Order: sequence, then structure tokens, then C-alpha cells
Amino acid sequence: MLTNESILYLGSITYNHYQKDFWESIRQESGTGGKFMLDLSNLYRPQRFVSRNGDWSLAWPQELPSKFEMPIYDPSFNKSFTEVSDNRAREIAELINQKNQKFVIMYSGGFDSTVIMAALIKNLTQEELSNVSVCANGHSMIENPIFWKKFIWQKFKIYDSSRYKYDDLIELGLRPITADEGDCIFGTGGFLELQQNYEFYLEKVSPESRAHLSNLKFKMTSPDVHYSEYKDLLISHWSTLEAPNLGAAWYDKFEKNIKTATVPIQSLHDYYWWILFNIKWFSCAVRISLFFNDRLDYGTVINDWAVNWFNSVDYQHWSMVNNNNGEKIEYGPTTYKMAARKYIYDLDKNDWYYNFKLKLGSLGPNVMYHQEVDNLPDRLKPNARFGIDKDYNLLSIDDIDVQNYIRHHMSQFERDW
Amino acid sequence: MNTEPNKPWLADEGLHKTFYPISWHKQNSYSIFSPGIDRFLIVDSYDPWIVYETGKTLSSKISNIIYVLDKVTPDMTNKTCLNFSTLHKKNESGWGSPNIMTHRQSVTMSKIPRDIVVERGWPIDFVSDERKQILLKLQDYALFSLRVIYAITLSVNFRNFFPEKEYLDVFFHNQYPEDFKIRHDITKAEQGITAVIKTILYESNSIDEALTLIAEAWLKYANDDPSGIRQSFYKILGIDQPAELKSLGPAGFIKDRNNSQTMWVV
Repeated sequence: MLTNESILYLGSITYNHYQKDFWESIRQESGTGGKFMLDLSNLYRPQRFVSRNGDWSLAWPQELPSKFEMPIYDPSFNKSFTEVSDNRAREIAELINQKNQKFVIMYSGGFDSTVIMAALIKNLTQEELSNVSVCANGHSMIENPIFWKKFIWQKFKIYDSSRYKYDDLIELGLRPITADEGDCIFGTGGFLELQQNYEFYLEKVSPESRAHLSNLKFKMTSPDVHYSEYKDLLISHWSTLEAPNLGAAWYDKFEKNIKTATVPIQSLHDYYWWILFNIKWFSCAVRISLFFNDRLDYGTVINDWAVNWFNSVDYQHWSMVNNNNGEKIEYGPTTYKMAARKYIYDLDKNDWYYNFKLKLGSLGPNVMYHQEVDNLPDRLKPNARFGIDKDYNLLSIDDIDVQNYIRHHMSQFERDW
Repeated sequence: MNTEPNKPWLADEGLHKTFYPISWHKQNSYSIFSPGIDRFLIVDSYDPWIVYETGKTLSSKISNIIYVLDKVTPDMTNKTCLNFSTLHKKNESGWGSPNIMTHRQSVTMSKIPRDIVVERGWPIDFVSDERKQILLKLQDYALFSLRVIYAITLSVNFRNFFPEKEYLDVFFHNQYPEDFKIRHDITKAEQGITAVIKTILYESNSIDEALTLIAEAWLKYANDDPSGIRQSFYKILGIDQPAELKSLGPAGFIKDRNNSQTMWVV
């Protein structure tokens, strides 16, 4: 039973979407902090940012499972992306050899899941690979056709990700391996979107600032230009027509987080990387377990079955010490995730993928869109899943006690930044 | 003006043009745009659906979107279009749009909503000589693929008198025995020669590799073709048939009456 004192692991705000009337009524009663969260969810939906480092206030009491805490920043960390990826693959090999565990790779054809496939193919024996399957669908084939034809088709058992969810796979004895934190390791699509529409966002700043920012367009990944130089652009990027002051409020709130964090944030790319690496990490880590699983206990799936490939200490250390050196991005989108491109190229020698592949969002259109949910009662449908409490209980937005909990906390949440 | 006679696909002129008399002397209206590079890869004057099919075969190498250009857009050519971009992505949302957050690997078609094509210069991610060369190679391959798809589409539809598969799939769905022996076209290719050639374009790494595989495909699937689609294909592509194909002799009634097609016996 949820009470006002209950602590959450995750809560999603989907203002202006499912349960629209409920969220609208919440808006009327919310404090200034609550209204900010609702406006933010209108821009960045669902809004479920949880900080792993630095100050970030939320409406409700919040804790983070220890498995997803951020390691302490270590500037002396010097393993390469290749070493870290190879080591990660050997950890999987050990689980196969010592415990005969069976794995299924959630494969989209994008950089992150292709890194997993490449790492396993490079480092595991044929016998070890016989314990590995692939969960994919037609979108995965289209996104990376040459890899599919050369390295997956007729070499791995394949499960259709349009039919098999986590619960189906786990009930077959397979541990799903997800690359869902790949964007968090490398940075964010939000940065690429800002870069792609730079002139659009410039239109909303003052003429003086516009002239200054025009000169900085090609310095977005440079460590020599601090992100605060782009303050007006950031405010423009994070404002909406409905909430023109959202950008300024966002800037101040995230600035407070950065200033209280223990990891250096320098360039504009760092700024967007930190959003994912810090406050979106946990959501990325558990969202498939929560929304791609209808039957199994969330705690069991998250803690005992699902393997988050990039949720390793070494990958996170690598991510914290490789900003602004070309490993994450050189400048534009065809250089994004450069370390992953190199690692994959070492295996597939595909010049086109290496030079031209674009990061694409895969989870929503490729997987979730195909999910069969008609057999579920309304309160258990993915859109109704608000989050989980500290005991991994599902919180449905359709339940009155959940609505009362949200109402109570949002009404008391005032801006503290 | 094409300065490389061994690459006729670089020239706007060609036999394919004769199928589109209404488009003669028109400004380039159809294009393949890459949101990743943020530039137009190629432009074309004649057929949006051929451009669309080209975008599909190119999607194994680069995600792209097909734009039908507004008549007020600047006059781009295949010599200049890598310097041109658009301004409108923010206003084009939804899956399959050029917006980097919602773009897809599978190709979609769209129209440039208004006069927002702008000259931006060479794309910044491809300034180094090595990266510049790979981009030019991609554009070359795209123009080659465009001409190949013109050639195969026009040839097959001009000459194809065995088009059963498409008719049965579209107009007779679940209304014929599963074990019917059905052909796509006059060739012996199980999936049809058009699919064979598009797949070659999809998988090949270079023009030379694709040309070799295309010749092998004709030899394998159409060595006794009575229709002449192979000859048409090479004529529209603008190059001579390889010697091994040429040595098969002329297509049509005279040769095939004396060769393997039993239909001429009855």
C-alpha cells in the first residue's frame, strides 16, 4: 500500500498524455517545483530524471538501487573502449562457462547493441557463443543489414522482438542483455538535435547573443569553450511555446546539479552527456524491465536476470574520462559514438557504417510500437505504469492511492533552486 | 557535362530520358537528402519513384529521405548539391522525418515545405581528405544506383511478359494454390531480376563490384532470355554488355527458336 511516506525508485510524469485530465488537475494544485516538472515533461516525455551525482530535487522521496550508483570519478582511469568492451565480453563468457547461463542480446542494429554483438563474436569461442541468442525484428535488419547478413543470420538463434518480451525470454531461461545505457555513455541525441537546428534556436535569442553564438557554432564539442557561453541557446532549446520560462528554470536547476557534482563538466557536449549519464541513467537502465515485461516481478528481473551491458564500473569510468577527445564525438552526427564505430569496424570492416551511420531511436518505434497490449487490463498497460516503489511494486497511474500520492507531493513541491 | 565517358551515370543525358519527355529541360525536382550529413546527396529531373527506390538501396550505406523540391528552391546540380542543406527540420516532426530524433533507416518521401534550401558549403564532418573521398565515393555510387534502377525498371516493364507474381500477390491474395509455379519476369530469378539487381546494389561496396555481380546475375538468370531486357538494361545504363554476355548473341525470336525455349516449338 502506497502512503505519503513511501519512497520511490522511479516515477514517470507524462503530462498532456495518458490520464490527461488527472495531470491537468495536478497542475492546478502543484507548487512551483511541481509545475516545473509538468512543463518539463511536456518537452521531455516521460520525465523521470533521477540524479546519481549532485543536487537534483524531486517532488517525492527518492532512492537509487545501489546497482545503478555512479562510481567515484577517477581521472587516472586509462583503459581503452576496446579493453573495456573485451573485458565485458569475457565476463559473459565466465557466466557461460561457470554457470551455463544462457543469454539473449536485445539487438537493434544500432551502435550500442552492435558493440555487444561484436564484443561477443570477438571474444567468445564458438562453443560459448552457442549459449547466446539474438532478439531482433525487421527494423534491426534494416538498420544494419550488412552486419545481419554477415554475422547474425544462420549463426545465432533468433527471437522476434515484436513477439518476445523480457518475461517471455526469461521464462525460456534466457538472460536478456540490453545496451540501453549506450546513449548515456556517449552523450545524447538532444545535443545532435540542437546542433541540427542551431539556427532555429538562435532565432529566439537577442541579436547581440545571436552574433556571439553564431561564432560558437563549431565549438560545441571543444573543451576550450565552457557550456555557460551557450546559456542563451540552452534556454532557447529548453523553452516551449506553452512554457516560455521553462528554459531559464531548467538552466538554473541543472546548473545547480553540475556545480554540486563531483565530475568535471566543461563543453556543451559534456553538458548534454551529463544529462544522460547522470540524471537519465537509471531510467534507461530499468525501462525495458518495467515496460517490456508484463508478468514477472520487477525486482527479480532487474536484479537477477537483466544484464545492462554498459552498467559496468569500467564503462562508466571510461565515459567520465573521455570527454572532448573525439572518442564520443568529433563534431557532427556522423562522428557520434566514434569509439563504438571503431570497435565495430575492427570486426566488420564496413566503411559505410563507420563513416555514415546515424544514431536512431530504436526502442520506441522498433520495439514498443509492436507490443501486443490488448490482453492487459488498463491499469497494467505500459502507458498506465507510473513507476515502482522501493519494494519494486508496480505503481499504476489508474490507482487512486497512486494519484493521491502524486497529488500530495506535487502540491508541496516548491522550487528550491 | 560529364567528363568521364566510362561513367555515363554522371551525366544527366541518357536513354532513360526518352521515357520522360514532359521533364525535358526541367529543373531538378527530386532529391536524396541525408540528415546525418545534412546535405543533398543527389538530384534528379525525371522520376520520384525511381529516386525513392534508389534511396532504399542506398539505405544499407546511409539513411536518407527523398525530397520533392519546391519549384522555388535554388537550382542544384549533382556537381553542387553536396553544398546545399535545408532549414526546416524542426518543423518536420514524426517518425521518418529528417529530424535527428525521429529519423529512420528505412526511406520515406516528403516535400520541401517551402523555400528553405540554403547553400552551406562543404559538410564539416567531411573536410579531411580521407572523409571527403568517401563522401564523393558515396555520391558516385548513388548516381550509379539511380541509373541502374532506371535501367532495370524501364527494361523489365517495357519487355516483361511474365509478370504473374505481382498480379497474383496484389490481386489474388490467398486465392491460388501455394504450389503454383509463378514467375516475376522473363528471367529465371526466383525473386525476379529487379530484386536481384537491387539486392546487389544494396550489398555491394563499389561500382566495380556491383557491375561484376550484375553481369553474373544476367548470365545466371537470363542467358536464354527471348525478350531483350538484358540488352535494354545495358543500353539505358549507357555501357556495353560485358563480352561474356555479348557472346550469348542477340535476344529474341531468331536466336531463341533455335535455343532452349520450348514455347517456340509449339
